[in-house]
Amino acid sequence: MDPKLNHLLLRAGFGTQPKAISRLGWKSPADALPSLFRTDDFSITLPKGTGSDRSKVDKSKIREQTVAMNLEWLIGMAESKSPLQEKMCFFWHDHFGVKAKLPVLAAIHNNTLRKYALGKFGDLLHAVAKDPAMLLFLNNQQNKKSAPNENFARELFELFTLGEGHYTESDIKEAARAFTGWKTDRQGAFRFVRFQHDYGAKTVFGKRKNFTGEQVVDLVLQQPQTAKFIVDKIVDFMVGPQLDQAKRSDLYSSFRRSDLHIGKLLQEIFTSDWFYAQEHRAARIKSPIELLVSVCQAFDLKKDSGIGLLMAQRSLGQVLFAPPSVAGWPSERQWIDSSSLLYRQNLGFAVLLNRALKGIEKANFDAKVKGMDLPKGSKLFSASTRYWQGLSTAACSEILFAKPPSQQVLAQIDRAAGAESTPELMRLALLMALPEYQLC
Amino acid sequence: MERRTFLKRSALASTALMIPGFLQAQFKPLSQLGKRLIIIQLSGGNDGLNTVVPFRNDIYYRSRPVLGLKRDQLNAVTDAVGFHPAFKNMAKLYESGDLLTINGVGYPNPNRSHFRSMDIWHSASDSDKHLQSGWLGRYLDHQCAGSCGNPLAIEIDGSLSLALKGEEQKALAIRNVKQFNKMSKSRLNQFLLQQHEAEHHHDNHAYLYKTLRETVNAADYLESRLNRMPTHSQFPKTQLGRQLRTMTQMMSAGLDSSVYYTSMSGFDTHVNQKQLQQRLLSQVDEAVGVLVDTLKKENLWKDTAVMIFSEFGRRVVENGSQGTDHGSGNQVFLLSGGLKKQGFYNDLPDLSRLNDGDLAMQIDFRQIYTTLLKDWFNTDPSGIVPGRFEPLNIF
Repeated sequence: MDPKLNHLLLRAGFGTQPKAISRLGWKSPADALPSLFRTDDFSITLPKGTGSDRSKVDKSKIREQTVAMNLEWLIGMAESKSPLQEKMCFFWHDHFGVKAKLPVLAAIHNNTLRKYALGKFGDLLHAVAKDPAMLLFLNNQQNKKSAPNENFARELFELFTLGEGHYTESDIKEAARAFTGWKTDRQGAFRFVRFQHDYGAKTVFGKRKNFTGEQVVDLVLQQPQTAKFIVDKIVDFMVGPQLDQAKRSDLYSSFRRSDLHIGKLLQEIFTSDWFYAQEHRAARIKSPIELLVSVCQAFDLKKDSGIGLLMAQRSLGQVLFAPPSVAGWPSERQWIDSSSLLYRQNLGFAVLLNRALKGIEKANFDAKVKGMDLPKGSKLFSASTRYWQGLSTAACSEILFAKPPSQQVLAQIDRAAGAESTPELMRLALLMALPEYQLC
Repeated sequence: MERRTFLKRSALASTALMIPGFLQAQFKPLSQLGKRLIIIQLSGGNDGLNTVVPFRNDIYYRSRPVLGLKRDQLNAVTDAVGFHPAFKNMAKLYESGDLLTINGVGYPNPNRSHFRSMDIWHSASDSDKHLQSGWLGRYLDHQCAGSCGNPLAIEIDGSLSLALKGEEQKALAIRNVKQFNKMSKSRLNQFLLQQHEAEHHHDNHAYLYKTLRETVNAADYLESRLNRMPTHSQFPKTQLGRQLRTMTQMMSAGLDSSVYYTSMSGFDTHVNQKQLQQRLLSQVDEAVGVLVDTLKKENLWKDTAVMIFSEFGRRVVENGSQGTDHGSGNQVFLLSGGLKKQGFYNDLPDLSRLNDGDLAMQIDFRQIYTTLLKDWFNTDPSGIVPGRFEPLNIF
């Protein structure tokens, strides 16, 4: 397999399967590119029955729905026909860092991210600003003319668009007034409460007018720093922090020319020559979700691997729909320490050979997730390896790795696997135990 | 201080940190002063008001008609304050001068989400700032320019908490020493490390191999000390008991590690708090009692400090389900054979002056971190704890 093609598929999605490559007949990045930008009609099923009325929430039902949504998305990412859309949806999930108390609001939020994931950043930002989960999460529900709450305005500038140092405290105070009266009702719909809105003049980024919330979002979208901030974050994620400033600057300009069009920015990155340079391949460390989705995809893991997949998310520190704060998850090296590396190395043995992860999983994991109780003696994971059978170890490694390991290492793996009762499975597990498997 | 400025000013910007660890693979003693810190995290938000009880306070009993603990149930330590009925050993430790209770510990603009508040405690950030490294992790960064030959900090769990993740250095998380050794010293890993002699790159690939080498080195080191680890079978067979047992075995075996971290969950007592908290605090009390006894016998107590904390306290007024909801402000317990200040550091929170139904903050938790770094570990807290906090006069 062409290593450039694999690099593209690992970054624009979560990798690939041997069967997909042969079925689609892709030989190079150019073959894959057109279908990458396709958008899918996949969406998270809206959970029913808990409503948005906080006084009547049934905790066990919430837990059940949270688990179902988690797996629906995780497996949805692995099976998606438009992996780039899912990958960017995951990127925005981290960028906006919203944790919703009610599953139905988390699902609405997630579907909003997906809808605009490859479109114009402005459309995404306007939609997210009025999203019920966001309004609740950043206390805009409490933002009234009589008592402004700055939480949303602060994070809008600090984390979503500009970054620290590119706005003043006064910009935040004034902008917060423009969002007064923005609320969500109990059904999760946006509601503008006129009598709580501050219609007075506000000074934001040196301009004075009786701005509305929408106009403040437009103002921040016009700031050149917003284009820069978003491009840098997408580039770090898709290419890596090592990309030089000159290339970044070109991207800032074209992103602004395209009216902050995310899909066009990605198109420009993936069609450039420099994206495929050696220095960018295998340069990133997979986040736990990127790792788990690629494992789901490689070995066709479905809902019956749910408990294993939930435990792995918890043990590795990244649970879908539960970012640690509005700033999202850590990245790259922050994911790797002795215990997480051991867990990652042993994941293949657990998935393929049903070996226990005893002693390295997170303590206090409540495996008795409602409706998913694990019968005694049953497996944590149910993997299928049929697509990998008959392939040489080298051929497997070309698909599993952004940069395949050396001949010596492959030979050692063949020797070690050959001595086992299930060499076909063992060599895959051993390949996944190589530190290089953690790179993408 | 802004995050970026803070990181620049801290030791993290030092190029010395970029030296790969395996260049300094030789073991060296790092806890030169021999001081050790044990942290016991009570996850879920322990109800501090029912842990240290003002039994002469009418507001307390009015706020807690169902959950209020009667004077005769409590382990009275002063003529107005009693410890929870389960805190028998803790009351004895109060008497013997091995315990200091710091009341009303919190941070400005408290957050009531478990995860977020715990992250604030772990990272030592302001509640509206987001740091992705932990305070003890940054202590490791500061102590181990390049590498800590032997693990300086160990968490007794299968995965590592944010508190122990630095920008460069990470502590070791071990739930079971034998299991850890077996997994890290797999034949594949031994083979891979032979293939990868010292790499001089600083990319992620090299970082993975650096971590792998440190893991295997740590396993070697632990293995070399295994036969020196006493069984310490006196510890209770609870999860916390087993965790404290493991760390005491490590300390008895003379490990160089100076920070030991452990956590216990279940303190989120929204319903039926009485039974639940009784069970949980008994587990804490029994395990801590044995811990202190053992360390005293091993002659390690005067160089050990134990900090017990929870991410927040609970609301003063009980809820309608015989429980309490998320609040703010809580006590922190410090135990040590080296305490200069014993008993109570400050007065119990004033129940007549609440902040929106919550206890007012008297002490910022980062003052305690600053004290532990400065006066216990003899380390400059700048670059480890963002901002400046007045240390407490404790040690």
